[in-house]
Amino acid sequence: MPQKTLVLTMVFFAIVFATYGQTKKISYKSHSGSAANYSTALAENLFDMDNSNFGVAPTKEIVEAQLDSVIFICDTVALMVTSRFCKARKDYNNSAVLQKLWKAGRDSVFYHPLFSKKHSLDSIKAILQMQYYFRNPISKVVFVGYDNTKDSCKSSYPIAKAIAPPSINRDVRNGISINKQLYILFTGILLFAGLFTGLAWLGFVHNKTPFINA
Amino acid sequence: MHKTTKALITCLAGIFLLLCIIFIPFTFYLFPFQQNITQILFGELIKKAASLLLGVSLKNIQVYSDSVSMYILFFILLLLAAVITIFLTSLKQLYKRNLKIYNFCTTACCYYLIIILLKYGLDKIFKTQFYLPEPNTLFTTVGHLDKDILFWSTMGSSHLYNTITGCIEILAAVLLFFKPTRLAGVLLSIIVLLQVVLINFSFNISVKLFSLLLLSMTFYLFLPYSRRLIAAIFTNSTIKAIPTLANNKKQLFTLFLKCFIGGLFLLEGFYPYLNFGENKSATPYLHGAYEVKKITILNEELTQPHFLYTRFFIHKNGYIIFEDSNRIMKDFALQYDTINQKLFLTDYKKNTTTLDYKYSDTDSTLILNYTLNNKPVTIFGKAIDWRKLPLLKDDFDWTSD
Repeated sequence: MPQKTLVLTMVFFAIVFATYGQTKKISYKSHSGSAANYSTALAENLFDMDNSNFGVAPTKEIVEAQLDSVIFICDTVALMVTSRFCKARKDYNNSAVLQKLWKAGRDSVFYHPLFSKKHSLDSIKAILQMQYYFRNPISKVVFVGYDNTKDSCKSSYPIAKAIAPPSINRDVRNGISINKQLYILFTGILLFAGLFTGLAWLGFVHNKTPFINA
Repeated sequence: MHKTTKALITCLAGIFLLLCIIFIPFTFYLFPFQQNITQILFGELIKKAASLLLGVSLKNIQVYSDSVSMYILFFILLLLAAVITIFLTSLKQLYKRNLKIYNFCTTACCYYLIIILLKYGLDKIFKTQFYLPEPNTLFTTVGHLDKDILFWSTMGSSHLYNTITGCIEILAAVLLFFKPTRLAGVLLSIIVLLQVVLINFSFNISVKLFSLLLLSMTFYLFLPYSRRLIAAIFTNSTIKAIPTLANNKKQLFTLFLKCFIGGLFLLEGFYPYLNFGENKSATPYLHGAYEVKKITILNEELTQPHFLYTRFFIHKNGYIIFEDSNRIMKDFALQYDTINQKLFLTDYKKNTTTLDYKYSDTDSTLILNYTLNNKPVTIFGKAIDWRKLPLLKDDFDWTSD
């Protein structure tokens, strides 16, 4: 098995960058970083060094893995579709270590202990829920080719179809993209400002005095 | 002081503060481009200035709090403000324009202070600024902690103090937002920021320059009130409103703009904390403190004084820290492979070591296996209930006996 595939497929985890406001120095000292390595960490922006500044909470919050679907191909191979989920708009791109271990996208899983045909769908879901740290509820993961009858777990899914890119939910909160949410909130603020100004104008027309001292 | 000199100084100060607002890269959620803009415009200049003026070769030109690059940026912005002031003076209309420039700079400083106070205030209330100390900090003796991390951890241990100070900062922001209460807002901001500056200097917290900038902004806002306030205190006269260029026809537009800006500020402040029904990240996997109970090398058990490590800690930001018998801690960046039960430890030279681990929920033991000089080493760690440490108890006593 290619090493890349092995690394990519074996690592199913949630990568959590806790979001705490602190200075770079305090952030570094919080994990008992030694003074000798501080300048290296700073110059090379190592690990989470980029996440702290001015003692205020950073914009980059949490990067998590989201499991979108698992597609059964044959007894030894399953196709997993994962996506990278950021709570903040800015993506966490500069972590070389992070990129090395896990990348969002589609990858084949060979001889996977959980996704082989040995388990029923319910037990797969139960184990995923308990032991795996995907951000999304397991009920929302699409399983293709799995059910609760052990024997019926067979590749009913043609390989050609499995290769077609599945829809990957990126930067999504409850089905609405973060950008869309921001537009909605932005429009709400505009409407509120307009409504408030309209009321002030009505008050001005009626009483000949400004509604509020701006 | 001569009127022209006074106008010149006010103009210079105003423009300098305005440039700082634009180019000091603060962490804004809705406008995360300041760092890039500053880096593109001033990055190379900062690098050259550092080399020429200080003889320092900067490896990282990113401007962050109290960095050499930030000091140089301040110096560049001061020079730029002086050039702009000289240019405006050459127009020979500075005195006429002074009130306009002053009003613009005052408004910019006022709104900047509002958003900054709001953000810091909310961060305190939601406990994202002074957070609960990490297990490794809790198990470090006080004498081994630097003043800044000790202060940060002490503040993090009290939610009440954070909530109250956060509310005061938000109150200052709200008072600043409305014109009739602006003077009260300015006075409260001065008190708040003086305290912040004092703390930053006394505990060596590296937000000194930025807190001084904010304090100078409040003084800049206070200037026009100062004479009137002193007169009001000592002569029983009332404080008159500061002359503005308000135009009745523009009042509705101003009101609209104010509502819109207020809404944006609230969005900027609250957005990171809006939940939208999703689960906030729980405690990171394996997070906590572990006491080493047993170490075996080549299946041979070591006795306690010869333990390589006495404790190890898993930090919430993705670090593992080992503490040896001399209380010296060594940290590594940490990543998990929960399927194959592996931990990837990366040091500051970017060397990665792989450890096998086994965690048992029933007795909270974490077993680490790795190879040291071709010998298999096993560390048996038992989780410590660090949340029961005295510092984290919410004790409150009215009486001392």
